[in-house]
Amino acid sequence: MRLSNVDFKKSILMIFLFLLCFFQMGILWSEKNPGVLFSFSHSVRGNDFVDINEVKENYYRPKEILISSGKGDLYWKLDSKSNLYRSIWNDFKDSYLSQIIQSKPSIRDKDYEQSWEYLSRMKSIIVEFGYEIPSGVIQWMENLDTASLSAIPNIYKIAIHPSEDINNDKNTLYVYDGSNVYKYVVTIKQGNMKKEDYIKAIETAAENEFVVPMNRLITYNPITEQRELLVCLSDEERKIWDLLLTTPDRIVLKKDNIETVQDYLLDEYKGSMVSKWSEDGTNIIFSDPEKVYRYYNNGLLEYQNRYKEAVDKGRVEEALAEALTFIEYRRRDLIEGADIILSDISDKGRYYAFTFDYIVDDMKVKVLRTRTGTVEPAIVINAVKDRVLDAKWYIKTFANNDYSNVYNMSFFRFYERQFIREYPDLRNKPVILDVSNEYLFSDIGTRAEPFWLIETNSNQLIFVGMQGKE
Amino acid sequence: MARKFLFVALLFILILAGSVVSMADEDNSTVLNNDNANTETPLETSGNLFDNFIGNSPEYETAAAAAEDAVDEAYSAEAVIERYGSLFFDEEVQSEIKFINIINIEHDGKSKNVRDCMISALVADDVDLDYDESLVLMIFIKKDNKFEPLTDPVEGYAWFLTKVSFPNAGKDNPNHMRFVVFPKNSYNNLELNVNLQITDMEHVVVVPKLKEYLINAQQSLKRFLDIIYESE
Repeated sequence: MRLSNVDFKKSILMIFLFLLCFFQMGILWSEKNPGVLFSFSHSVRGNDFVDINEVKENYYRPKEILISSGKGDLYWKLDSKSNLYRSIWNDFKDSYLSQIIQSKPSIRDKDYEQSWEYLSRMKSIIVEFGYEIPSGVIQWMENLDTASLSAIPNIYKIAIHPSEDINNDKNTLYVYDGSNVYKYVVTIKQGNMKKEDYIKAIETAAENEFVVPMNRLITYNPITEQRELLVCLSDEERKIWDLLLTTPDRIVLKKDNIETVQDYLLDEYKGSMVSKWSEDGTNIIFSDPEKVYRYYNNGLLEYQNRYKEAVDKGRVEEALAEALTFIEYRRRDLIEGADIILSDISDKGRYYAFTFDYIVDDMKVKVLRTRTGTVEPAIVINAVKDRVLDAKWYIKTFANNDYSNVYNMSFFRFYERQFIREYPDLRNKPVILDVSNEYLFSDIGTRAEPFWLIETNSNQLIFVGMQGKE
Repeated sequence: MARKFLFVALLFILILAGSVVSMADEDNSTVLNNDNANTETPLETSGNLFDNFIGNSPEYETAAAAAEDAVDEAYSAEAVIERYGSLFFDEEVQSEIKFINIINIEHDGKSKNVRDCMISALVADDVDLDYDESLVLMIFIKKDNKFEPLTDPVEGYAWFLTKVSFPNAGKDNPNHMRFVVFPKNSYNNLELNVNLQITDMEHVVVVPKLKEYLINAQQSLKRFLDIIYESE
């Protein structure tokens, strides 16, 4: 039986309506329920695949590279943008770190080889990480064979003594793990800086335009007991821009932007995620039986996994992989103008705590909580081998503000003109643990300014705004 | 006809199924309280909230600067040296009070000259200065039984760190220094052991043996030439 022309058109219309209905239902189901086979709705984000192996090495670098003049207490701090800094760090990444991890330390036959302070006072180049990096992390970062067990538990500082070994293709490294010193004689491979380049870098440090002189503070003022604490005492000047920090446009919290926010900040598998606005409309909670996200309109993302008990914390590098994946999955297309680096690793017993900082022009950018008056890192992630347990992250994108000034970097000048006048009770007392110059931004503002940060032995962090010349 | 009804019925079933899903109530009671999440209500603002946290308030600084300026107007290091020269340069005079303690005299690593040093001195614990007060430190060096300024006078509140270049080097040629310290606002009324510290110190610029020999020879030659020049 042949269909009439009208019946044929009706059938086509029916099929069209059926398909339309099917797609509408699919879209609704895919947004509300787990396990839909096909993606019915377009995701705001492009390729969500994160290959952490490609980017992980960007998350660690030395806190500073110093050239020791061999004159006791004078060091030259290298600018991280200088070719020398890059060449030295490349040598470590390409060759020296793997040799340290994969070989056994040499025998130390001289007494002074056991004293880090003595070794670091000699003519040398010192690569200093800001924290003790577990060997496993370096092994993972550098894609080294996991079967090889390192003789050292951590790497904190490394001193290169190029003049020590008589062979032209050997360099002597002293590795300090925070308590012990290990000696390694490493091979200078093709593509590495030559031995004479290292020696020349030490001999000509004073003429290098990318260095800042640093002195041991304890030599000149007993306000500290930290023998390793270096500060700039001469009138070095530096132009520093204020920073403009904003919540990335794509994830600004608005009623009509929730889908995009979810796409960027929640895991790819959203499951039966439920959202709830706070009564005052300043934050929104997304939750499912496993995870809770709270996102504030100032860019603060808080995350909790509900299953925290009876977790296997695993190895530190496994937990770090989870933490980096958490960041990397969310930061793409959002954060510009700043690097994110790993600043600290802490074993908390049941889990590992990882602290990350934004870095702009070699300065960390930290958060000043206006309500409590405390300074905090921008990103803290607690993780175990297979999941992130908690995270707190101020998601910001960066640009230079319209204001810059020239600042004197002398600690002596700051101490004399600002610090001790504000804190006269600390005069002549050995209280200072650390001194640094960092950016601070208010958690309710959009501007970051340079500050002096003074950490004292009573767990007090004093922060004083740097005073510009103009 | 039955087929058409079947299609229409199916259509309605699908629409209903879709509607049920879309109208499903977002049951907020399933959201557990996040104990760790803070309840603050931050806002994006562009105001400068750092002012409260920056060490010195501009008003305070201005007031301090004004008070200092008043002292500055009349104070002159040269006038003070001229007025109190007999006291400052008296060979026998040493004070008992101490406004400052010399912490260290260290070679200035940035200089290749062994005579270039940095002197670090701290204001003594029991000295209490107001915000706008300061101490004046004058350093003299003894040459041919006469005191000469080693460096320009410096002012400080808590810490003095000054560069000097010693004239003598080698263990046979110690540098005899005299430190004169007084509160700047007392410059008009200086009195030993009341508001004036005078302390002598000797410093030897250590040099390698060969270098010391050369320096000694150079100094001997200079003295010899001076004698010839004076005799002429």
